[in-house]
Amino acid sequence: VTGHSDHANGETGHDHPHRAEPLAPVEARVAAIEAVLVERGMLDTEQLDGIVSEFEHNLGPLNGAKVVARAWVDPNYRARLLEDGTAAIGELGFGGPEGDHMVVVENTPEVHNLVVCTLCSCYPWPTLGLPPKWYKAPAYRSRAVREPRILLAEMGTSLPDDVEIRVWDSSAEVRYLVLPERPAGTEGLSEEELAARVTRDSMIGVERL
Amino acid sequence: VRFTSHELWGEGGEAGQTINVDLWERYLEEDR
Repeated sequence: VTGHSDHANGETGHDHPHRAEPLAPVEARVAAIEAVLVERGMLDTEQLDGIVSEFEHNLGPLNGAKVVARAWVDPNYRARLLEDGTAAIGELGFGGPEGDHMVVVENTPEVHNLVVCTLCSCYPWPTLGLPPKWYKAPAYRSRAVREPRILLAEMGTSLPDDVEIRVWDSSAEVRYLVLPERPAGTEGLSEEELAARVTRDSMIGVERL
Repeated sequence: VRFTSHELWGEGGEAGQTINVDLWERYLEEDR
């Protein structure tokens, strides 16, 4: 859902900007449902704008990257993060729905962690935002548990045979975040600079930094 | 609960791989 900009039109309280291209079917469907819900007073547009703004500005992998960077520079924080992910992530101000029960799993030279949701698309929203399309695809969801080493290689991450792969299947309650290994040669970087090196895919476990 | 790939897929499973599934239910008790 996009285009929740202001309430200047005074009618529905929504002002969708002009678009160069026609709405895609799913966008048109969302817009139609939204219009009906607003018209019948079942939806508060300000509340909806707040949700959209939250997703556009406050949720996303940048949050997870801050968590990872903090763990890299602060051993005590790292220990708390691995002990109680939800609480430690909450220390940085991130939490809420789809992140109520966070488990953080740490990559080492011997162990690589990979996160999947075989059932649907469970994902840690507060730290990673919304899942990428491939995360929701049946091929990823099935192959991540059936042949993760081959899958990872196809996605550009070839792991040596002696590296153990631990696959974590997310549930409606528990969501996982991978703590990647800190890349070599980053000793002099600040926490902020380190956060910029952390990718979304590395926190899902399909990439090594 | 942690399963090895071989436990789930038999001989077709990849070596050095485990699958972790959160199966917590409040009525379950740990098998000691």
